[in-house]
Amino acid sequence: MLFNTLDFLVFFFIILCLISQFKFRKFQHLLIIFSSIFFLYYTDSYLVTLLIFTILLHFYVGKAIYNSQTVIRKKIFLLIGVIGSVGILGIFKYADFAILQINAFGMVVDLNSEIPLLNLALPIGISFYTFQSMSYIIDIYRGNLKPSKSLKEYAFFVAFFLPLVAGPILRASAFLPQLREKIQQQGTTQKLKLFVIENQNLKFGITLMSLGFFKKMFFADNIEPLVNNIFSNPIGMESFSIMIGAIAFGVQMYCDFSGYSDIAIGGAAILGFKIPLNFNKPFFATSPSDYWTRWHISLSTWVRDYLYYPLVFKNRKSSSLVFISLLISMIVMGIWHGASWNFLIWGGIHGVFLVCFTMLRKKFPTASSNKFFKSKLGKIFSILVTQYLIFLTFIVFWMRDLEHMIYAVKKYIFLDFALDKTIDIVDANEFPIYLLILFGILHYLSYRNGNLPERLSKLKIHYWIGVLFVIFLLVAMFYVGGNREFIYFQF
Amino acid sequence: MNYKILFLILCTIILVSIIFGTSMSLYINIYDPNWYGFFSNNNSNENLKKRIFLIGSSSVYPVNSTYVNHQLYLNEINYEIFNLADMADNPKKRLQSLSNIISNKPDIVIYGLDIHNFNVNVEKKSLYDQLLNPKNFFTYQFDDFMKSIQDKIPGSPKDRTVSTLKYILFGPEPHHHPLINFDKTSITPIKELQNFGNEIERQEYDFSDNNKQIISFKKIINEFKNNEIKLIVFSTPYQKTTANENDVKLFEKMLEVYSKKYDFPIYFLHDKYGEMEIWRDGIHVAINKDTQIYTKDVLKMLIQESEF
Repeated sequence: MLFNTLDFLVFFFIILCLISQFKFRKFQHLLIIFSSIFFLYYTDSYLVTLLIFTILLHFYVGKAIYNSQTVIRKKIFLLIGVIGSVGILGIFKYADFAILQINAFGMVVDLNSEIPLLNLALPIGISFYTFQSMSYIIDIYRGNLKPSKSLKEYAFFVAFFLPLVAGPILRASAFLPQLREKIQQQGTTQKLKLFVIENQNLKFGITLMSLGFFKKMFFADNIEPLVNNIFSNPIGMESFSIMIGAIAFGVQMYCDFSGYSDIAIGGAAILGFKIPLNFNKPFFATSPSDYWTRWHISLSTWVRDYLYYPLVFKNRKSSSLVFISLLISMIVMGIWHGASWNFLIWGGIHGVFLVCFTMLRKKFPTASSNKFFKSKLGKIFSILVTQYLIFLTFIVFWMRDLEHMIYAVKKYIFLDFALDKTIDIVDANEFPIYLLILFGILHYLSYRNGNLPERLSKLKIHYWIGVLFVIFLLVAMFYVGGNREFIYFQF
Repeated sequence: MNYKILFLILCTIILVSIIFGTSMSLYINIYDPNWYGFFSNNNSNENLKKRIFLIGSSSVYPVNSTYVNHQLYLNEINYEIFNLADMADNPKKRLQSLSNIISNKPDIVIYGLDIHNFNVNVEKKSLYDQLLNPKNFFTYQFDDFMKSIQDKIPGSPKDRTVSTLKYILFGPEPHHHPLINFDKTSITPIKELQNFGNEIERQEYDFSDNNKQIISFKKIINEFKNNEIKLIVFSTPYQKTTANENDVKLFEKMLEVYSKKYDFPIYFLHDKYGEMEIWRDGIHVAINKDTQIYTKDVLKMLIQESEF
């Protein structure tokens, strides 16, 4: 069920109506769980069984880890949970990629036989809910979290339909306490929170959801043709065309993914849950490490906390091993996106950028307090350099064909200063170009004015409705048509 | 929950829906061949030529009106043709904008009818299939409702919005193909089209008088007759694989019956180019210099029927 369809709006509206009318805690709780499972069943048919399997496995593994008396037993149960998650991911997401590499190697050494591909369907949202489940058992293993007392509570956390298929990746340590909130002081047992749809949450949630739809349906879907025109066959394209393509894809990707996140966070806010932001003006990042505090925050912090920190902790005495840990973490983040070389390279490039930046910071520790970098001009310079590097990685992210990728990257780095074909492309794609300019202006205003959704939701009601009217109208009038999937659905 | 907020949101959605619905059909309802836009220098030049309107769905769109006009000019025939084909058009949809066509006073209307305008529903799948594809189950339950909405919304609202804005400000572009962007399309080899018809073959057709499309078609014929506009009907071409023989025969028979009853000429092009390499897909001829045969046939039909 795509968020940008009538199906979802009807589904969500029915849930809101039922929750607001039937104020019975257990009913509300079970309603969300069953509607979440229905949501995935509607989207992904029988593959919903994988979600149910993951819930059962990690719920009992979490309990077993917590109840284990010895470290070894804890480790064994943790290993079972991690193998369960990684195993599902490996079979459904990476098996064919691995087989292809083995077959390619077999061709090189003349094995004369091939392993047949599994051709399994990729379950939607699998990367998100397996990572979410892993964080749950790792937190219990580390002693940072008590396991859920009931399967209902845990099932709610993993299956919650809004962030289920494309994030943000929830953390049990942040989400479960919200679920466990007591409704009355006198109760000794922890009871689940009653869903009360409060006015401010409703306004904020609707605003955020509307902005999400606006980003996806007005910007991302309308910019996509420009990206496809340039990137589907980049051979022969001029440097400036490639640059326009990279910027357009970066903006498309941001609007697509942050649009999805906004809808999920907004929907959850209406139900009274606070999910942290997944994006924070990434195109104003001043360094590669700053960028990863602004882009897909839930994944980058997951990788930091559960992969990078443990690796660094082991290798903290050797700076070269620290850098290798950084590189490994980013490559894992790349391969998390999909079984393809371009994602691996994408992660590797980001890793190299982070390593270089860390080395520079070590070599010039006072650079950040330098007058120039503190001035406006210095900040603009830092933003431009960072964004030049970041948009380069978007080329790699889009292009699975290595020949195309190498050509486009070369053109992006070594400028040819030719303009003839670029002018033709701009002429043929006037509308997406106008949208890119409009996006730049709105992104800047949003950067200058802080939390835009919150500010909008606090407007007087007639102004607020006016803003929503404009957003709804633009979304409807500039709807491209057809079912446009979110890019991150494939991950 | 604050019901005032919900009420206002509901009102906003209704208002947006009304504006959206109106604006989506605005272009086809206000289209005027004499309009060249607010910011154009040509709006004083009233066209004195007699008008031929070519109407139908996207399968009519590949008829190159620029080529036809050029041929008419070379033959010193004082007519000008406008291709008013619209995406996913059918008689029911066309009837809604008929008053605008009539008010523009064409002398001749050529109507390309597509057999697929008369399909009624898709084959229902088994319970097992529906369990595996739950979305289909809900789609079937609300099929009629969704179709009624889809009938009112063009395939791409954005294209229609941009076209309408451009039309109002700068006039249609290009002037003889106002409703769809005239983009060249490449030819798909026939071998690749072999599996194309599988989905469409499963559709059922209804050529009886109860079909709403046929009721609308008859109303259109009567409107043209009442306004003394000559009507020529032709069946639009499609690749052989997209409909079964029985349905095609019923379609031909239906057109012949109405042709005699309402006295309009009928031409069959639906099975004329089946084996030729001129297709974009199974139901659309490509827009290409190598596919002019379709345009030439429409031109021939026009010359044959007109009293030039």
